[in-house]
Amino acid sequence: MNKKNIRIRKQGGYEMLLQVDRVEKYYGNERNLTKALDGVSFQIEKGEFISVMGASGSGKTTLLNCLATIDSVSAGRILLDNSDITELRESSLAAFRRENLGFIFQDSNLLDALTIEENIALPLTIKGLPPKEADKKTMEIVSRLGIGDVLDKFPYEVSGGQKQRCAAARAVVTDPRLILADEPTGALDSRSAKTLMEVLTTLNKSLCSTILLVTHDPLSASYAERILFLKDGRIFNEIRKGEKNNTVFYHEILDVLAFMGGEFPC
Amino acid sequence: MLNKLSRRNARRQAEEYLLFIATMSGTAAIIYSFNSLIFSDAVTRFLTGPSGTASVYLTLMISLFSVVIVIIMGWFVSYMMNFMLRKRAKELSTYMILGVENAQIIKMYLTENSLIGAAALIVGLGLGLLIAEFLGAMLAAPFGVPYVLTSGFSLAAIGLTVFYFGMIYLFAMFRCRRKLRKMQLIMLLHYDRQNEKAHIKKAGTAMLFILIAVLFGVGGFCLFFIKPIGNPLDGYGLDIFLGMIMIIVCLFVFFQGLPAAVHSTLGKNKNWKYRKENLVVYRLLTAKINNMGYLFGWIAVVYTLVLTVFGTALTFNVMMQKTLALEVYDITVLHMDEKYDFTEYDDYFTAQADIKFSYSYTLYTDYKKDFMEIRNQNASSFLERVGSFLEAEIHIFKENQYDTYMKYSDYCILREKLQLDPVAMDDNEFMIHCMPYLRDSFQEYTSGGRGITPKGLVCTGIYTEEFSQYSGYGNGQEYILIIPDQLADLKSVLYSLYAANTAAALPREQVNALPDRFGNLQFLKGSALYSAVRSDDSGYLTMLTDDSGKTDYIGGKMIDGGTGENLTVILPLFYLSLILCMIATVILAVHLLSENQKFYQHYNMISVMGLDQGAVKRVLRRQLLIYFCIPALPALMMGGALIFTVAEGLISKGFHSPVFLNITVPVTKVIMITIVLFIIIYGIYTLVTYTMLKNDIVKKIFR
Repeated sequence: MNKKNIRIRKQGGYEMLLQVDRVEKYYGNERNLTKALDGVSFQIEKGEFISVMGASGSGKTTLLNCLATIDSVSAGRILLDNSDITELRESSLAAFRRENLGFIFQDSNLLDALTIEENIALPLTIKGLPPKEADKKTMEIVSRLGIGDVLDKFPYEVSGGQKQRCAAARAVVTDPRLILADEPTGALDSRSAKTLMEVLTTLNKSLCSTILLVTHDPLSASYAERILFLKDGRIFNEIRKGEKNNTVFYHEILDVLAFMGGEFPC
Repeated sequence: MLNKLSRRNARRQAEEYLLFIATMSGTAAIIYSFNSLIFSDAVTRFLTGPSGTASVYLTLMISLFSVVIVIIMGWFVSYMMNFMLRKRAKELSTYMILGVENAQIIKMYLTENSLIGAAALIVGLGLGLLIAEFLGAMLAAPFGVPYVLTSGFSLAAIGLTVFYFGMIYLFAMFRCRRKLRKMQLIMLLHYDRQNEKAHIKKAGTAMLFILIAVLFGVGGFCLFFIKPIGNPLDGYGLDIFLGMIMIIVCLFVFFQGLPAAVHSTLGKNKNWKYRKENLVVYRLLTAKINNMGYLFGWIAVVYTLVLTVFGTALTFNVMMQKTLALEVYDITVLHMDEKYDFTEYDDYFTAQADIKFSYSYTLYTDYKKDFMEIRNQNASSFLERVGSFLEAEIHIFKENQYDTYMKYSDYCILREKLQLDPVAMDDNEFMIHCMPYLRDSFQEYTSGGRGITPKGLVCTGIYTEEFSQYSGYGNGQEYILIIPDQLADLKSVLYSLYAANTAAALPREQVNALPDRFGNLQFLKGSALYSAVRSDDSGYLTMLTDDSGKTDYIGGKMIDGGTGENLTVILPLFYLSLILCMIATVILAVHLLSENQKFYQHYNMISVMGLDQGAVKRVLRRQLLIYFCIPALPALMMGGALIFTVAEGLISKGFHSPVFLNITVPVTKVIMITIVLFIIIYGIYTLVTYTMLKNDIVKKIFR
């Protein structure tokens, strides 16, 4: 389905992309069992920008790892376009990630041996795109995100904000079905964090990228359309932005956090 | 507390630097095994030639090379200690922040390394016992002596190895201690970042470096192959020396320009770079080699040296084997001027050695030089070709200056005993047995109807199998004429020979006691260095020291001490090259292995992005293969050229007549064997490094 159609669907109704169905994840042994995820269920529409919030240890990173097929679930199903990704064979996982997912990490995880341009092109080369096409796609995303001036630099030569914008470019360059962002603003100053969140919003709006953002920063979360609150491995609450602006939504988030209790920043 | 920490750290370091410690153990084993040769009675027994010098040379050479190895190993260990220090700078700075004194840290660090060294030494000594037995058996083989296992340590060799190892560590610790003393907290905190500042040179500069390297390389090759400067009499020493300097400069400059040259060619070629896994391989590799230009230069120079030294040792070995092959008899006894009865010797050797065959015969001469002149022309042109201005006659012994004859019946018996194909001739025919290089000239000479006295005899065949014709006092000076028995009786007796081949070797002491046993017996070659050769009034050389004609001279493969003396050169050269090769390779490997955490992060990231296990392994393999090839390939090229020059020079000048029909064959053999052995040792290290990295990275990512 092309992007135009997705947008039309998004306006008219919804088309489900991801369905998380009673997912559980345990660590440890019978004597000392830790339930990192305890029957988590939710759905994500195509083109949606959703955020998962929770305190440290609430299970949000575990959830992200399960969605990313980096970790396996103990019970439950995760359906991406109606295919259960928890049943994928070990040998198919890499190909699945390559074809369907894009990642943005807290510390960008750019390869410091590669230039910014090469870092962005890397997933395309891994995907096996012809060199010319890889270069073309890289340049398209670079111009869209306005990071052309740092292309020849190495990650250690650019600021944290620029690194994360590059990481965002790398995540979307393969046009993945789902972008998973794990605390992408966690290591940034407020200005850089704001810029990055605007970039993600732009990607969501203009490219109809489906984004799942894991964060404990209410300001970053306020850019999402919907927020799931995790507590002790369960979904504690869910709020939607609707027609509200960021500021109003931000305060609503703070209210939920206050209600939940915990160590969230204001 | 700190002592406990030292012990724990040493254990942890041992796991991280397993390859380094294994190499230290290997080095200790090699030092022990070579030094045990000095103290081995068995080895001394079969190395002590008539001159009694071989085992002394071996002791001297191994001791000298051991000192060189101690210095090189001292540098290597200090380099590794410094390297480990860099990797642990943060940990050490934490100790300092916690208030541990500098002196205590120094003590702790040096204790850790001493523990590692001691562990390596203990393992190495155990391994050395096995290698020493293997070496002893290898040494015994050319002498035909069955080697008996000593089944025990040589305490003296252990003492010497511990002493050398102690010196290595003292040297290394002295160097490291100086560095540790000066260390400051801020320095340690930034120690591991020092290399990050290295910048890639600009493309233009890189190309200039490569151009200079190529110029020096071509210059070095010209000096090796054309030899435009030096004097043939000194073996073109100046050309080879200057050539080596140019090759060393070439290698250093080349590695200064290489990263930038790769960057400006491959790095800018997106069509190549973005194809499959090229980008990852290319960048992981250039990131590593950017900061290693000098080290790669050093390692390439060391490999070139290793290959040359190894090739030189192999060349000596080829020459030794050829010399042994040219002499077909184990024992010969020579008596001048008359037909002689050798029964006394035959009885003795039959009783003492397991005689396979023995035969006594006489050689004749008519004091003519028809064939000798042809031999001289050929030998002269050979000597001129190899750059020796010595006259061909200088290499003829007085007793072999004339055409030499052998009876047909004797020749047939000797051929049968030496398991050569039988030959036949009539009473009006003669045959020639010569070294291969004379065959065509003799063929041409005899086909023109010219031949021997009496005239009318027809040459019916020329044979060229090995027949004890090189270096005189055997079956002629590189040729012998086979004539009907009745004609031989008309000629003068030159000398009588007793020849025997044995199934087992005589013990060296027994050989050395032979002159005393028989009274009128002397060694033909008093020394393999031919110190006994004296000049005759006529200008010819002679090995016979008694003019009265009453003395017999004993020689042959088993009697001459040349093999032992050759081994005293060959073994220490192998010793040195093996250790140098191991040191250089382990430095390369450790540089890579110590970055396993960084590599893990990189490979983990690209696997998250979707690179599957097979592809990750493939990238890792390519990365390692290219990394290890970078210093090895130029070294193989330069080393190959150097071996060619050295081997060609040694083989052509090491014999006074062309014993190899085509010198390219043994030279190519030496180069090929050297390269194959180098690749095997190198391959083992590469494989071990790959396996360790694979376990550290791939298994961890895809567990």
